Parts: sequence; C-alpha cells; structure tokens
Amino acid sequence: MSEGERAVLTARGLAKSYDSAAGRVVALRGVDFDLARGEFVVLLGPSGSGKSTLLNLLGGLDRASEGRLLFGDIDLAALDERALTLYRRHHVGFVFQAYNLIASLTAAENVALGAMGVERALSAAEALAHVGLADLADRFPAQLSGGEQQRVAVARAIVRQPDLLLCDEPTGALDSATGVVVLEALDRVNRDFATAAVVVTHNAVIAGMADRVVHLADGAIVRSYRNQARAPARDLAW
Amino acid sequence: MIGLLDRKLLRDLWTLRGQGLGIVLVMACAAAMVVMSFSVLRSLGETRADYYRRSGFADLFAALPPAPLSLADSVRRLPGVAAVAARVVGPGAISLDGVDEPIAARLVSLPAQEAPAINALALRQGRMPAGDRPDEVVIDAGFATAHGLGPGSRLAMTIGGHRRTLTIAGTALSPEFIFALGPGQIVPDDRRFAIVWQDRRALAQALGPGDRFNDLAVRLAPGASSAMVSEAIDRLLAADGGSSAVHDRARQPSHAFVESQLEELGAIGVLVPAIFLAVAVFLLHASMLRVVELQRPEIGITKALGFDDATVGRHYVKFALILAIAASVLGVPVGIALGRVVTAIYAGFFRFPFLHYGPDLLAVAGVIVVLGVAAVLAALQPAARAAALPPARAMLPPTPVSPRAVAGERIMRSLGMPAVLVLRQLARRPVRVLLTTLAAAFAVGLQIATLFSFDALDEMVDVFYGRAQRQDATIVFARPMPPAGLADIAHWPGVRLVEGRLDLLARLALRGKARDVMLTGLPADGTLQRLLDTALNPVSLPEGGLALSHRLAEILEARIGDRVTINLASGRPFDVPVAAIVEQYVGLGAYMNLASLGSRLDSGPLVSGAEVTLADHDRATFLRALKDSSLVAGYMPRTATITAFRETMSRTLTIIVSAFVAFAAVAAFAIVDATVRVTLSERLRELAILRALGFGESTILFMLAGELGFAVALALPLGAAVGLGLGQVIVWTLDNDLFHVPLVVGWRSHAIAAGTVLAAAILSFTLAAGRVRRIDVVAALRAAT
Repeated sequence: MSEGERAVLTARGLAKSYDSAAGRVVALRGVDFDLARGEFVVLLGPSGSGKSTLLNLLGGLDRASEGRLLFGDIDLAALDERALTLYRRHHVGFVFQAYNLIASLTAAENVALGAMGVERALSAAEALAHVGLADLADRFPAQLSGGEQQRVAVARAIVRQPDLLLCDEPTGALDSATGVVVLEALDRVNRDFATAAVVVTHNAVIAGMADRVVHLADGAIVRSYRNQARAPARDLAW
Repeated sequence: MIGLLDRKLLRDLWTLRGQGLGIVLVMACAAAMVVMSFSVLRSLGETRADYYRRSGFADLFAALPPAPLSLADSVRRLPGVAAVAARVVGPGAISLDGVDEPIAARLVSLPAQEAPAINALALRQGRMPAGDRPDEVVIDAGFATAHGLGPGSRLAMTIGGHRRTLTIAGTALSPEFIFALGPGQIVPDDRRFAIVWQDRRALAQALGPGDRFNDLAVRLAPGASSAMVSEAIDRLLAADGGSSAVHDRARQPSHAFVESQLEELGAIGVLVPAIFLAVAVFLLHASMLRVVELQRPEIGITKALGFDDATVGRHYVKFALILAIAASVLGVPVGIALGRVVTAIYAGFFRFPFLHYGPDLLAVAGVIVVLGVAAVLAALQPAARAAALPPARAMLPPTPVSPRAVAGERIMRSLGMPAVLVLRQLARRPVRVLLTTLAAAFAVGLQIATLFSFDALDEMVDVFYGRAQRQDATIVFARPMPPAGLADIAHWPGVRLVEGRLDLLARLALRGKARDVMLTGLPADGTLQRLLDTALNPVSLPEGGLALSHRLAEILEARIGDRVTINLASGRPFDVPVAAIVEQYVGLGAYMNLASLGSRLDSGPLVSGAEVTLADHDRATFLRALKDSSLVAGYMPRTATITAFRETMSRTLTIIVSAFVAFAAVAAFAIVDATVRVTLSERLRELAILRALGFGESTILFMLAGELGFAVALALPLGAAVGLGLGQVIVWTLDNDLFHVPLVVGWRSHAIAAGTVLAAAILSFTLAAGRVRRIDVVAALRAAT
C-alpha cells in the first residue's frame, strides 16, 4: 500500500486461539495486515493456515484474542456485539464457499435481505443485474445452479455497497468455467464500486487477478507480493 | 408489508409443515380439551344455578320429629328467612307388575300452590294432582321413564303399613332430586328408587303426622347468613322439644352428588389438558432445538448480513408463536363443538328441565394466552441459543463427534456395517436419541394416563362389590328393629344366610376435626360385608374398636389408637379408639362391632338392614315374600348395584375421559409422526451420502428403522412409567369423599398405548421410507459440500 492510500483496515499483531477437544489451538499468531480502499487482495495458504480465521476477524464475525484491528479509526476489538453487528451491516459484504443462501427465500429476496437496514443500498434488481442474473430474480436457490447461487451470494454481498467484500473460497464448490463467471462478478464489483476485496482461496490461479497476494502458513503471513498487473478474470483457468 | 425474515419464517413453516402439524395437533388437543371441559362445566353450572333460582331450591334442610305447623310459622318469621316449606316426608314401597322385587320410594308432600315456590316441580308430562283427588300423585320423570310409566298409570304402594293404589297425574323433575339416592344407595338407580309427590293432607294421613310436619325446607333471603339462620332454627326446634340437624345444601344428597360430579369434571378437565400442554411444550422445545440446529448456517448468514442477536432470537420465538396460533385456530372451534356434544350427553344424565349451552369465552381467551405463553417458554432456550450462536461458528458444520469406538461394536459388526453405524449414531447423539425417546414415551404415557380410568373402574367394582361385599342383596328396613327380627327373615324361602347391619348418621370428631358420616355396625363374625385393609386383605373388626376408611382417616387425621368421639342423633357421645384403617373406594366409611354400637343406643341393640345370600331356585319365592313384607323399605341386589354403579360412572366421568382417550390417541400419532419427520430431516443429508457411497435403499431404511426402533423400544417401558406418574397425579386430583379412584393399569391399557405408538411409528416410518426413496443424491451432495 502506497503512503497516499488510505487504509480501510489495519491489523497489528492479530492473534486468535481457541480451546478444542484436542487442546488449545492457535489459529492466527501476530498478523500485521493492511487493506486499502479499492484494493483486491488474495489470501493463499494450505488448509489450517489461518486464512478463514483472518477473514472472519476482518469481517467482525469473530473476535481476536490479541492485537488491534482498526476499521478507519474504529478499533473493532473495542466494539460491543451490537456495534459489531452494525459494522457488518453497513460496511461488510460476505461471500462463502457454501453460498449460504436462505433456501426459503427467492434470489431477489435473498439479495434484499442483504439490503435491509442500509440506506445507501442498491435495489435487489440492480445488484442481480450486476452479476448477470436479472432474469432469475424469482427463482428459489434450489432452482439455481451452483454458479448461479454463488452469483446471488455475490449480489447479496454487494447490494449494500459495502466498504469491504470478504470472500471465503467463493469458487471452491464450482468448476473452472462457472468459477470464472463468479470471479468476473467479483472483479466488476471491486472496480465499479471501489470496494476493497479480500478473497481467501487455496487455488493459486486466482492470485493472478489480485492487486496483492498474501501467503499464510501456520497462522502467520509468510509472504506477500504485488502483481505488476491484474489479470482479467476471464483469462483464468484451472 | 411482511418482512423478509417473516416471509422466510412462513416458508420454513410450510416446509416443516409435517412435523409442525404434529406439534400443532398436540397443542390443539390441549386447547380443545380445555375449551370443551370449561364449556361443559360452565354450561352445567349455569344451568344448575338457573334451575335452582327458577325453582326456588331451598338453602337449608331439616328432618325432625312431627311438629305443629305453628313452628313453621315461627321459622318463617326468623330474620334472614325468605320462605319455608313445612313438609311431610316418609318412606314407601312400590309394587309394580312385572317387577319381582319391591321398589323403595320417598314420599314428599306437594308444595302449597299459593306459597312462594320452594323446590318447585317442573312437570314433564301430565298435570299436577287435582285438589279433590287425594289418590293422584306426581312421580319423578327418571323412575317413570325407567318403567314406562306416565299419566294415568296406576301405582300400587305400601305407605305407613297400608296398601294403596294411586294414580299418576304427571311426571316431574325437582331440584331436590337431580339425583335421587334411595336408602343404602351410593349411586342413583332409577329402576329401584322413586320419588312420589302427593297432596299434603292425604300423605299426612297415610304416614301418621296428621296436622303436623316432619321436614323443613328453607330458602334464605339474599345476603342472609346460612350458619346464623341454621342456629336460630335449631334453637326454635330445641325449644319445641324436638331435636334436629339443620343442614345446608352441602349435605343435601342430590346437591352433594351433583357437586362432586362437577368437581370431578372440573378437576380432570383442568389437569389432563394441562398434562397435554406440558407434553406439547416439551415437544415444541425439542423441535425448536432441532430446527435451530438444522438452520445453523442460515443463522450464521443472517448475522453475517448484520441482523442483531435479538432479531434472530425473535425470529424463532415467532416460529413457535405461529404454531401456537395455529393450534388455537384448530383447537378452539373443535373444543366448542365437542363441548356442545358432551354437554348434551351430560344433560341426559343430570336431570335439568332445560339446558343452557355456551362456550366459555374466558376459557377460550385463557387458552389462547396460555398456548402463546407456553410456546414462548418452549422457544425461549432454543431462541436464546440461536441468538448466542457466533456467526463464524454457526456457518461451520457442527463439531464432529469424537471418533471413539462404541461398546458393543464388535457384536454389531457381525450384523454388518449398517448395524455398526446405527449403534454409533445412537451412542454419539445421545441427546437426540433421548429427545426422540422422551417424545415417544410421552405418547405412551398420555394414553395410559387416560386409559387407566377404565381399569380403575373395574378395580373399584372388583374390590368394593367383589372382595368386600359378598351378599346377594342388601335389605333396608322401613324402621330399625331389634336383631331378633332377623330370625324371621332367615326363615323366608330361599334365604341361606342373613347378617344384620345398623347404619346410623353420626358425627365423628377428633382433635377439632369433625365429619358427619354413616356409621355402620357389622356383626363380629360377619362374612358377607367384609372390611379390607389397605393391602386389600380382609380384616376382622375388633370389639370396641372403630375402623375408618382410608379417606375418612385422612380427613380426621386419625391414626391407629386415636380416640374418636362419636355423637349419634340420640344418646350420649362416646369415645372409641381407631383399631383399623380400611380401604374403601366408594364413599366415606366408619365401622363398629354391631353389638358394641347397639349397646350405646338408648333403645338397645337395633338393626336397620340386612345382608342376605339366596338360593337360586327359591329367588322368586323370596322376592314375593319381600314384596308382601311391610318391614322392607329398600332392596338392592348386588348385581343391580354394580350395574347402577357402572352406569353412573359411564355416564359421568367416562364421557369426558373417553374424549380424553381419543385426544391421547391423536396426540400419540402426532408426537410419533413429528418425531420421525424431525429425525429424517436431520439425517437426510447423511443418508444421501451413504446412498452415494453405494449403500442400497433397504440398508438406508434399515438404519433409519434401527434408530427409530431403538427409541420406540426404549419409550415403551419409559412411557409406562410416565403414564403411571401422570395417572398418580390424576388420582390425587380426583380423590373426593364419594370416590377414591385407585391407580391400576391393566394389560389392555398397556397394550392399547403401546399398540397405538407402534402403529404410529410404523405408519410414519412408511411415509418416511417414501421420502428416503425419493432422495436426490446429487442435490444432497452438492448441498453437503
């Protein structure tokens, strides 16, 4: 991140550990991480490296055991549950590997759910149009293909025009062609709305479309680099 | 406009309609039962109150030695007295063609036409006797119906030792005899007891008091104190040289019987629905826990989207509330409609001249509120769990269970991998298995708790009329006589054995507690009327000691050895030690040695009736002798008494209990079906994966059947225990002075309860098997990734 760019998120010494049946598990150990407005970051790493844990902390889904996490000037660690909920509602959009659509709501209703309580939100139709699904608004998740469901999930994430778009293995359940369509949607959102995006994946190919690539292993950042240029999503294949 | 989460809620409910319907049905059963019971009670209660009001039913009653009518005038002038009926009352016997045995009757003088109405008759047929026809009478409608009598029928009667032929002018109902209990009867028997109303002067002549009266019925002025007026009347009668026991409605036999019936209906009508509601709350709670578990990912995403914990929690409370509303919508109209049916059935038994039926709107409102509150309570913990679920964790699959091997796996392995999987599933999801088992156990328990009433009735008949009473018939004498008179009866044709008995109204008092009961003297060496201890073994009556029925001992707080003070209508009070506590399912009983009791009487030893055994071949001759005798006021063959007892029970408690049994069966089906559906929806994804792995359809069904079968098999004995526990609570609630219902569950009830649950399980499983066959393996796997 260049000096002139204002950080949306700043993490310092971020650590997360929890108790499990097998004993104390350290999921993240002292991570420093910055994210600039409009930046597209890909987090790479093997299973258990701490990618999803870091993503959950950034999105306010979980709380760090140690360290500081600033959203602008706001310390997320100091927020109570209610404030953290409002942070998610107004500033963060999530996309998960398993889509996590509500089975009993249509595509448009799932998207509208993401817009509830947010004044600057787009309409569900606009958001769906953005991911190329304007025609499927009235379908239920069970009536959509995996790729279509994931694009609905992306539309739901961006309908509120969030500052952060956090995606956890968004193509993990999809084949290459379908995955590319989803990545194109993410790319478009990132560029059109200048939304900072963090994509967790273990698919190294996806790293090509990022501004910056961060490698994690064993709960720590082991490598970080910037791409000379972002590859268009449609050129990716795996 | 309906919110998105509410829209999700309604669609989720539609998706889960199968199991939701089960819960709704159980709650609706509870609602319907409450509304039905309260509507029946309210309708009967209001009808009775209105009947009492319209007919001027008396507030105080007294039987007294013949007294001049001027005494009645004195009573009339007492403050607080609104109206007085000075009546002539006495026993009589009816001899009907075609009926072998004599029929006991109670003769009551007709109220004067011009006086304010007290215990006014409601004519059902014919007319009141004409003033110039002293031979005309009105008889009670129940007796008339039982024997096909009506206006114009002739009635041969023995009154005051003289035979007379009377003509029936009309049939009527009286508030005083809604239930008419004949001498020695504990339940009404229309075939064997009649009320006959006759002109006062004619009856006074026949019975002997002439211009005097021997029975007083008093109606109080509004706001008058029953106790103060009673005392004032007692003082007046004592000053006249007579002795009397003025009593209020509580000791008026018909009122007391109606009251006890309504009390029983009230008690069981609240308790059983409450039990149903508790089961429904448990079922709803368990289902809500499972719904929250199934919807973890949706809870996670909802929170990730920025919905706060309270909104998520409220979502699940609303879920339960909608079920409660559905239950109210279903249950309340059913309750109102059933209430009308049941009230109509009761109306045929409670002899009211009219009937007001109206649903109890307060109960309707109450039940809706209670269902709502119950639903909220049931959903509170699951909703709190949903609210507290951290979103990141909610979206993860549930924590995998520990991979430890389960005890018994080696044995199961010989049955194949599916058997091992069933065993592991059971061992690793103990809470889920427990919830399924408990639900099925409640399905069994609810049925046992309602079905046992029929077993209890059989037990009461068996113990009271089988083991305790061994006579063929009980004879009640027109007036007590010396024991020597029994020798005459012993010589009647067909009589094998005669044992005398003496029934006296007595006040038993101990340490400040007192109770008016019938004190019975039985011969020391008697074999026909036996007393049974609390283990139902015969006990001999110790000389000089008192035996109390279990219930009476409880009321007096009497223990063996306590000295109870006995106050008879005549003679000095005396103390007798309690020597035995005996079991008696019907009525309150106190027993003494006949000779000991007789020795306490001013008149010397007496008998007021006799138990007899009869030779079959001479029975007709015996009955003729009985009819010809002027000694006899009442005759009750034991078989007839048993029939009357069963009929009374079948027309009172059994009606409402039958409705409850039907509800319990519906609830059992609903509970089991809901449980099977929840289990299936929890397991559908895993079962699909197993299908994809190559397990056949039959193997999958075997696994499902194994899990359900285990839970149901465990539920049967557990349900029997639950049923006994619930039955015990019902028994405690039903306990009153008239009936002590024993807790007995026969094999038939167990079989019906288990059979219903098994049938429900098989039916639900068959439906579930259809869903298993239709599993879309690809879709399930895609969702699983």
